Amino acid sequence: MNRRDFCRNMAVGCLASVIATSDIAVAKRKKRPKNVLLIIVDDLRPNLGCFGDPIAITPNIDRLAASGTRFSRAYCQYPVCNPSRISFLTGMRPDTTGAYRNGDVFHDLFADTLTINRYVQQFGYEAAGFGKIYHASNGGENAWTQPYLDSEWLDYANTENRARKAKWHNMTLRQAGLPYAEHEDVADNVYCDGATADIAADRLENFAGGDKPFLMIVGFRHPHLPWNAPKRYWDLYNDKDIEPAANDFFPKGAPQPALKPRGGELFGYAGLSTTLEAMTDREKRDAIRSYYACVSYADAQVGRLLDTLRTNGLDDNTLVMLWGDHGYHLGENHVWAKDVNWERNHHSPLIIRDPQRGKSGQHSDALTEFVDIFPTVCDALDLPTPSQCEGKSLAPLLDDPDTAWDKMAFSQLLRGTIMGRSLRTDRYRFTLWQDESGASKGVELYDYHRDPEGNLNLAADPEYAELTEKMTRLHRKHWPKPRPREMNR
Amino acid sequence: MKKQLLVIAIALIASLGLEARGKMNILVLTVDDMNCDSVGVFGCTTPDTTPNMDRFAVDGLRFMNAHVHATSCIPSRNAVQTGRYLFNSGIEGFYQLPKDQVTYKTTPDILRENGYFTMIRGKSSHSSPYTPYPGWDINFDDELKEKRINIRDTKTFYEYTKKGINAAKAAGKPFYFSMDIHDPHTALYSFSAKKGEISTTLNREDIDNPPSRIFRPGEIAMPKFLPDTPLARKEVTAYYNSVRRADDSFGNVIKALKDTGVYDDTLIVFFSDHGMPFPFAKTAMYYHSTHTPLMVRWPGVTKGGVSDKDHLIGTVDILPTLLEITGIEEPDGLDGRSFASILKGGRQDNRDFVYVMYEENVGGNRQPTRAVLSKDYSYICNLWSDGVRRFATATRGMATTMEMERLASEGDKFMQQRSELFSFNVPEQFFDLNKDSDALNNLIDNPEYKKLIAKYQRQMVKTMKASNDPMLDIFQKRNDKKAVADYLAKLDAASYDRKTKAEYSRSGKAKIAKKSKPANDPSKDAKKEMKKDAKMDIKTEGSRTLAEQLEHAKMRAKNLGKTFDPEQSTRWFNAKDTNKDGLLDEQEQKAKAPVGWNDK
Repeated sequence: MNRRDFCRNMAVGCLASVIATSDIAVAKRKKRPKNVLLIIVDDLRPNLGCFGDPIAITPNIDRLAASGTRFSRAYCQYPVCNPSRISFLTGMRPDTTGAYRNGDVFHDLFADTLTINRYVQQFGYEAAGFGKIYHASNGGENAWTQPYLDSEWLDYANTENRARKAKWHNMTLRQAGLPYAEHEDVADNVYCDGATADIAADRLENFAGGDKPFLMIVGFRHPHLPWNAPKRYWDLYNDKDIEPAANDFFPKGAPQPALKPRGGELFGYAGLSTTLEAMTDREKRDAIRSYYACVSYADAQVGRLLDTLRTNGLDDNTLVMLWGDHGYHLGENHVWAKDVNWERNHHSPLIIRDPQRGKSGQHSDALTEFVDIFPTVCDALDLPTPSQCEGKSLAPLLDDPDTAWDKMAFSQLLRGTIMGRSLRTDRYRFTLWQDESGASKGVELYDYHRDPEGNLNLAADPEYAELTEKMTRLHRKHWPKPRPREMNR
Repeated sequence: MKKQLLVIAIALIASLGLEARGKMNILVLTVDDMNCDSVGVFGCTTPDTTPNMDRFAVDGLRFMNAHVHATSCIPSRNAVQTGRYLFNSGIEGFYQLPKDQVTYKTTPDILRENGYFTMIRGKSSHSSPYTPYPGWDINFDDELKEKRINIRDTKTFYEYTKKGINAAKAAGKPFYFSMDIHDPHTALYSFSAKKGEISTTLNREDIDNPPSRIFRPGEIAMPKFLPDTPLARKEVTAYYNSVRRADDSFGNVIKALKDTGVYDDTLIVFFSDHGMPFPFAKTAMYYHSTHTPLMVRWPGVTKGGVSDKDHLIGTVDILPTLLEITGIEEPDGLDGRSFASILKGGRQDNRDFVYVMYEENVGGNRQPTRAVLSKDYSYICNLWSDGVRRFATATRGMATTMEMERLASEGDKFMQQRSELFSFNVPEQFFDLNKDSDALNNLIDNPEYKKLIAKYQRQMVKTMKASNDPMLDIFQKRNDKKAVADYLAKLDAASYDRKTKAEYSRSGKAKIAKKSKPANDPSKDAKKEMKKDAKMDIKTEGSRTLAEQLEHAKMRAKNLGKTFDPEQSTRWFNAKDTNKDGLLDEQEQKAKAPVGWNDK
């Protein structure tokens, strides 16, 4: 007996008169505006089955890709959480928002800025957010029409780790003894993303019965560190399948500002060597396996949301988008985690399922950016795109993934006071490092046809002088100019 | 729509079931001294402070414009339990009423008569006109005290909620449970104003009872009405840690309700008794002083996750609401009005204003204040502000207050203004809450707002008339200095009189011995009392005359049972009155070596 039948049976007798209303309502709902479900997975790089990863077990995201459009070359605008999130949630590039650091907190600096969740409210949408969406902020005033619920970052389940966490505040994570990963044999919702999925699924069921369209943003915290996931996800992977990166060295000839300083996120935690150089093969394998376990854990939570959509009859009228906030390094180019200006750190999966657009399971290798997300949502909902948006709607690619798409992807990273602005063309990545006065502090050029991992900076190679010159001109001509920030709501 | 049908059907069945089983349980859950905007779903700018309250908001209805009627504990809580404004219940301060003066019934009395099992945990001595109060079937505070249990221990909230539920089950009655979570009241989580430190080793009780998340000073957003110095920031961080611990306790209460299976048979009303324990919040009359995170869950009736922005609610409205929901007849003389129909999704007219007040501090120093608030503006009348009277309040002891006064004494113009305002205030204030909810810009003399201010003053008169406020006459004559001075003198004398009588004291002892008739100048007399009462009113050395400081230090030494030695007492006497005029002027203040405070 499906839900509707159940409903009718309940109604027969005591609520007979309401049945007629119910039929009208069902007919009316077909004309309803489209709902939106946006899923942001923290620190997710394309280690997914549908992106061709040989060992990743991600049936749910694969299922989403099989029923939607997969974008195999989507790039973030900034390889760090907060600036990237502010950029795609406002549709503006980092040079326009001016948020380059994790400390540039949303609610302090962008209180009056139009964001995607504020924007749709003007058109009668319910806006709900769960989990990590804005970095260290609840999105400011009037961000949501439903209570926003955050999730716990250091979501250890082990009692000893929880006790350590209680004492963590005036020392580093490593000093407190908090490990970089934990795999307790517990239910999904003991760790944070399972709990987030619980709430979000519950809210989706509620929305299904409501009379307003909704936009829901769900932010899963894993595979961000600490790589906590229930043991069964860790057990999904075989130690012998894991292979540490072969290119555990900085790209040859990379300029100083491009290199990640020593230390970094992973080594802030306990449970492994203090430096990258001291990391053993065993540690590398465990770390990579932990990351995969988290990807599968997050995948299962995505599955819960997709199931809830289906069982509540929402999936034929809901736009679903999934992406990571930026890419990630697992030892490649001598980098763990993020905060570098290279391909791996900018490249993240993007999957869009618009039930009214395109064929199921199609794939586009056009160069796309995360600033395109806001305009794409507007297009899908038949809403005007706000003028602040600097991206371009991906609707044409959803209709036909082979549409000619003459675009470049722009990403950037601030290292101290030196800004590296990086553009990606079909074949090359060209990065210009400049200090505040505009003086050059280094140039990078990578050719991904010849060197798919980006191990060799060609900018200093005399053979490539002409190409470097051409790319410099291209950079000067096409790098998007910062706009005056719009402060409308 | 299908879903809505289902909800209707379930609600119908559920209500039938409840009818059969009897009346719904009631839990009135409060936190102590918490700002409304410290709760995530009420717009907290520091993330992750209250995950459990936020989770509850998904199930309940939030009132975005709810206010408490008084900004200190006893008056605020009694306004709820008696359903009356302070002047109508007679409980205006930290004294208690003699039994024969209590001519009305309070919430536990009424509900008990109607078959409820009444219980209280936390602040029992602060929640009724006198103590011990006979309206409670169980007062868990007695047990907690006897067993020497840490009342802030988050785990005990789970245990005692269960205990209460089981006791009511055993009695075969629905329960009315008034529960207070003592956090984030001072002492703030492991913070010592003296040492200026946050450390888990400072407070023994805190070691075994940490919040589930401890914030770092860099993570929190400082309220705009407080000085942002490293020490003040540490104190506010400690406050947020205490908020988080209050939230842990909150979560445990809800968990106990769910585990015992009564969550869906229990009406839950949640709020904070008033704003954060910092200057310009607690005991003050600003937006953040009275704004409270009122949430209600009426199972099967309130829609989950909804917020109400249209109606202004005061906490005197809670009692009439409970009575309407339970179908009990309302007694005469209540100042509030039921908002049950709003909980059902309806609208109510004439909910545009709320009336709030403050009368006196713990030491019984009368400082009558009134305010009328709407969604957009607030009008405040500080009747006591005559330029001489100094504001006596518990928030004076906060490190944040001392930081404000330190900056002021170091020549910070803005802090001098703030400090002056804090101590002496101005007779009338008007604020635009949409632009300036932190009350930094008083618009009372702004000609653009003249008409609007007059409207709010008329509204205040209207409310005073409707509620029989004894301040009505003097409010209308507020520009007559002589009349105001006489009025205040009368209040002072009455307060002095109360302090000399044991029957008005919650501790059972008179606060002061009656030596003679009140002095000719009662305000001067009250000042003397203030000085004596060092624990309740710690002034900073910067704001005292040297003679006052000497007096204070002597008294402290006496209180501590030590002999007074000015040479050794460096804490108070690093400053030298070089020109021997009995005052520490600016230069002499600067020459003072830093004592006790540092900004590291």
